[in-house]
Amino acid sequence: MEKKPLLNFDNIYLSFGGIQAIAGVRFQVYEGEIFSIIGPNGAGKTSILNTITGIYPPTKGRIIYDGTDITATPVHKRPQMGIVRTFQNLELFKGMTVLDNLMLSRHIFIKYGLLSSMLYFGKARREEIEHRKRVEKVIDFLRLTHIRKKHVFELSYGLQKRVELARALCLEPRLLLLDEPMAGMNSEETEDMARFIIDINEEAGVTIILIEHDMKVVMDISSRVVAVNFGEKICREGTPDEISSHPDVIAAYLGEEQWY
Amino acid sequence: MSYVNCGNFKTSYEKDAELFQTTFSKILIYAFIAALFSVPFFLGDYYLYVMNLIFIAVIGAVGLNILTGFTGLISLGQGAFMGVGAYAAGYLSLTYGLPFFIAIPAAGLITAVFGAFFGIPSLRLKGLYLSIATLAAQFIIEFGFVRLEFITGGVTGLSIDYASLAGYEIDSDFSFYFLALAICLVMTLAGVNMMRTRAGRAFLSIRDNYIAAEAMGINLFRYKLTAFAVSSFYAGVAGSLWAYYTTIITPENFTIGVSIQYLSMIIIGGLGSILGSIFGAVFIVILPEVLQSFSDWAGGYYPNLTQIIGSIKEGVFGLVIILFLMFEPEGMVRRWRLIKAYWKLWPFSY
Repeated sequence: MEKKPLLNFDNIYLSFGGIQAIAGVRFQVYEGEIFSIIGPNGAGKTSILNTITGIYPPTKGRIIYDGTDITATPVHKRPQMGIVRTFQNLELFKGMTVLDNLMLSRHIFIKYGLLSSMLYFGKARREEIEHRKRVEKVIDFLRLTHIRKKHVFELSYGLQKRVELARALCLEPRLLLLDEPMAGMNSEETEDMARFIIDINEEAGVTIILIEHDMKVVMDISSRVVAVNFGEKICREGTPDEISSHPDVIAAYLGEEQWY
Repeated sequence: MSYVNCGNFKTSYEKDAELFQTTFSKILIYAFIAALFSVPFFLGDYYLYVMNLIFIAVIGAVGLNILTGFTGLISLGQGAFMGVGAYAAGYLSLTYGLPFFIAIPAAGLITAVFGAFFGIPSLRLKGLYLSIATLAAQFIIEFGFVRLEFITGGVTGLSIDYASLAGYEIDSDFSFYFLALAICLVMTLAGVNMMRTRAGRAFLSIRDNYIAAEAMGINLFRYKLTAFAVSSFYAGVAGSLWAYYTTIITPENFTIGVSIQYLSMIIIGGLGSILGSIFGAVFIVILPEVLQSFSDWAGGYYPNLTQIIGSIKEGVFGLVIILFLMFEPEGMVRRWRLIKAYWKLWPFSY
């Protein structure tokens, strides 16, 4: 069965000065899967996400998304195509309420202009209410009802992570990039988050690229996994079982056995 | 921090999105507006003059707060932009004989174009560097006021007629009060509405985290320029009102000192809050007047004091800003919220 990939990460190179962050990584992500990227710290995982979202333009190589070349597409246009991400270190809008954070994500769907927003009458008001309803669905889904009017800086770390996921969902993504969504969470929060991710994938049909250090989660929920180290792929992407037993992956994580 | 009355439950999103959440606050605000419209019948000319200055300052401060408080782009050019508005209104009414109700918005639009142009560096520059760039804008525009004599009349300035509506001249403090109040109300309400909808959220997101904002689909360049344009529009309207109030437009009314005055208004009032800009504008306009009347009063008893107080007036200005930065960096608006929260529970402790 030959499927067309949703995202084709085609032989990407990215370097900062003399440092090679990504050195010729290529992989394909297919519609509807949970694709995980694993690797030790500093392996270039987040750089891969940053090139997909356009924050760093790759030095070499092409990124094909849904049949179009998006290598040079500006960052702010990519959410409109359905590419949405969360950040490893929370990048929420801390001075805004949870609700405003989520309403901001509806930005690209809201049509009214500056003048009608000044009047806040008729069209602007109707649209605000309509998008509020969409946002409330996400709030319900991620169980954020009790904190929707709170400012983000008041919330605990785990909740902030969830708000960030909610913010990404409000953009109605087709390809969702999650950068360590479980980092710093306790086991209960991790379990909740894993459940949310599976639900997003299965119910909304969102393709997910996941970066995570919690191997148990990765191996449990991923359809396919790729391992990177020093900006290079260590092995072919494969099912969780193939990857976790691959000698090179074990070597990257645990160190090589060497006898002198 | 948001304090909502206990038992104030909403059953629809329309209700939840309302500006004034309770009937009581609605009554209060309408009563306040009604009071504003009726006070000129009881106040003397001097008080009306101060009120008029306040209205103009509120418009300018709301504009600057949209740029600096909401979008996080520090601007030291607000004074110059107000000047652009004043000269634009003056030029339009002198050369083309436009009535004030066309000249004022037109001056606002012209200033918006100026502001957007001088806002272009904001894409690359942030914080201190941007404020230096806007400082340059201030001096360039000031230079223009003096040198572009065929438009601005140079150092002698422009002298324009009072605004007139259907043959009625708005030439007194009393009649100008209503014009300024009406425009001030409209502009403030527009500002509040803008800040709680699409554009306002985009501004806030740029202030809080521009990287994430861009990743969420905000076009940074466009919104930074929009913030500059909107802010300058407010400055332009404030400046043109000033022009119609004094009818004499000279360059020294729009110096760097004015810019700093407006910056201190929003710092003292509260950055990122429309209400804060109002508080700050009222405070900064009233402060020198209070000092003045104090020195007049004290001068009756100690004649030497008049001179001393006159010279420390400028210093008090700086002192107040420093005190606010130290003890209430979030501005008067935070005090206001605390006071409100306190009275919500009074006389019970919790």
